[in-house]
Amino acid sequence: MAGGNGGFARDGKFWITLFGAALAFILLMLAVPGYLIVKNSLAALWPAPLERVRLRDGGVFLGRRVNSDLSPGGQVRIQYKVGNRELNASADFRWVRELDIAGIDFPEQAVALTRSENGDFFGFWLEDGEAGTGRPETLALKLEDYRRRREAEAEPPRRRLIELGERWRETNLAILKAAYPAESPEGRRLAGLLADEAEIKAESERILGVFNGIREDFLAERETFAAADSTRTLLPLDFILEAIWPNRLGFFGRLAQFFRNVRGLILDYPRSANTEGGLFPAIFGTVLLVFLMAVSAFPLGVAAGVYIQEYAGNGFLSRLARVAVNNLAGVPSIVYGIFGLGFFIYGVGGGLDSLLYPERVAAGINTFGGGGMLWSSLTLGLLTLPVVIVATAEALATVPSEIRQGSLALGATRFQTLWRVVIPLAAPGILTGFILAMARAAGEVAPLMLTGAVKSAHLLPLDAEWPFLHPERKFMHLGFHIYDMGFQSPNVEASKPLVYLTALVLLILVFAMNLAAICLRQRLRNRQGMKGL
Amino acid sequence: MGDEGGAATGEAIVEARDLNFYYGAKQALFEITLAVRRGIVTALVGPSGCGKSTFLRCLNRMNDLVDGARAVGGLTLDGEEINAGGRDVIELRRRVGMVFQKPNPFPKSIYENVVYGLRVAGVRDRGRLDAACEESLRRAALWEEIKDRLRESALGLSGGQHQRLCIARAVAVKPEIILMDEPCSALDPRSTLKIEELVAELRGDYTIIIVTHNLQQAARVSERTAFFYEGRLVEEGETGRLFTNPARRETEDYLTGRFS
Repeated sequence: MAGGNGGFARDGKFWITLFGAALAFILLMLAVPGYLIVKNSLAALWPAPLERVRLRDGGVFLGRRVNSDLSPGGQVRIQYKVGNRELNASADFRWVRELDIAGIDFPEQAVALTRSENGDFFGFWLEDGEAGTGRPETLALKLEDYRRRREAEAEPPRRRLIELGERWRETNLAILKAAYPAESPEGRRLAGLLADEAEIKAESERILGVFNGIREDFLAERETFAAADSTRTLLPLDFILEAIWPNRLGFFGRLAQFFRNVRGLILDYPRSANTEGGLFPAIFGTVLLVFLMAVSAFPLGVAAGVYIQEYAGNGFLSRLARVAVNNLAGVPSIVYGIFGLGFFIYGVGGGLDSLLYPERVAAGINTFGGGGMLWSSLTLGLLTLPVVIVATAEALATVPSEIRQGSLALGATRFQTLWRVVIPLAAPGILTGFILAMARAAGEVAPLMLTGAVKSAHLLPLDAEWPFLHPERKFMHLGFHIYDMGFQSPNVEASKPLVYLTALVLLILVFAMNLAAICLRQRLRNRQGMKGL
Repeated sequence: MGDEGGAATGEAIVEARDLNFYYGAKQALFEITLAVRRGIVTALVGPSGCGKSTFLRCLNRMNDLVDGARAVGGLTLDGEEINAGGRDVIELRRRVGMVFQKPNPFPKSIYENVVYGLRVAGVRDRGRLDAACEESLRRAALWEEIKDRLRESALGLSGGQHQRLCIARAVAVKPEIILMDEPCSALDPRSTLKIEELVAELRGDYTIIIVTHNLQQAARVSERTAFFYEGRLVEEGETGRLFTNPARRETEDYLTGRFS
């Protein structure tokens, strides 16, 4: 078809078709992963029914259908999540050939437990040890009553223990400081601190004893559950985070459960080595990271862009600077990570530590000399600087010269022209640069692995504790979380749904930040009366 | 210079004496000697590339923005050398306002456009700014049309209104001279007429130097006309005389359309 017969090739339709195909291909490449992510995420959040599968060989199990495909032999296979990790020695997922299934039903009595240990449990509740008697309302009441008593009795000592732990850590640092160097006049303080420490330790041990006693009592409260094959097991109420009866839920019940799951995803901390639970610290870390990055990099980038475009002229040095900035945008992000590690963490952070906390350095404790939120955000800031600088310079270059001349002709200085007319006009373009930079920063993982992102950090870098912002703390990050769960997890199959969910949350986050920036840009344009530009 | 006095009296406010102007190695103006008189409208005419805009931009030193631009020779405003080393360009531009070929309102409100020159000069007093805004817009015959829309973006106005706004903006800083660089070339005939009326209105209070391609316009609005050709000033004189009885052959050829 192509080329030969005059018309199609000569009037350019061939090329237009080709270009259109290129765009279609790209859109497809975007749509496929997008579809996969959304589909798998929704499937992970949707409370699907529990199927009781009877096999031809007499086996029986309860599970949630997660996947199906054609096995190498041409048979349809179905993958079930069967949970009950402690009973199924193998794993909590199971592939079954459709051929081997004798029958499937949806028992109303089937309960799905979300547990703090061993993952999910699918089975039946045996109220008073009797089969077939467990009513959902009774279990819900029991759980509620249990949690209320636990809150009243075990919570106060637990909080006190956390408090003591924090005080113990602080006292230890103070002891380090007082003892360094040994002959310092603070020697007398040291004795007092050591006494404090002993006191804290003693109280900790006493309360730990009390707490463990209470905890043992609570752990002793168990209920009997049975798996589909009637294997009985005693589960402490303490482990049960949530109990639902999926086969009793109508559509709206499922929808409500779906939203409860979404809320849990956003607000809960991860559990079981990140394979379950929520993403709260990772979401928080990502947002704060991008925010700190923007605060540190954008003013610097805009200032540099303004200088390059408006004042540097066109000499050899300024052209060299432009080339350097452009090339900086192409440096692999891991190189920035290494630079951040070497310069910020070892150099600046190490220097700060030996200046402020020499006693901690001597004891081998890092404060700023280890990875943390501050260094990660500065590293990301460096990484995005070229984007901001180039966008700023280009936005300034597009401001029509008539406008500048109009301002100068009215007796404005160059700086007044820049500040009052040129920069406001270039602001939407500069904001576009910010958007690109933020999107890039939010999705970046490699440099963070070297500068402070960790698998698990239960202390947030921003909290109610003085001085509120703790820039030296390590943090969790959605991108790193994806890598960690997908490739470093001991149970990859179990963490798969969360990998998709994390990817979705990261995408939504980037999308939301972009949307906010685009709205801001549009408002700027409207204020200047440039609607639709 | 200046031959037969006629309607155009008034002493010289701008005087060029053997002014040469260069863009890098290229010479754009040759030996210009010209006196512009106070309080009247002087038109600069001539074919494209003849140097009339370059001459205009020498007067408020807008040519400074061009790399390698250089003026040699005498050019004075009220007897003071415009290109003198220590000359304050900002002060010069406050005294010599300019209206450009393409209307160039700032992407700000109408009010902020008009008071821009005062703001950059450091005027903060609200009352003074308000008064200057109203007075300038009245002078530019724009007040009645837009007095209720002062806070709206200036970019929402029409092309003709844009140019009158730019004139109001120039008038607001109370310059002695207003340079107009083909102010109507981007406008429709109706808006052109309004600008011409406005020029007639401003005559007397301001010295106006207008570059135009439109000979009828020059004839309508100006008292005196200077004809530029290939970087040289060919002839300058009272407009009526120059159009009806040019002294030089090149002028006559141009006026009769033998070259453009």
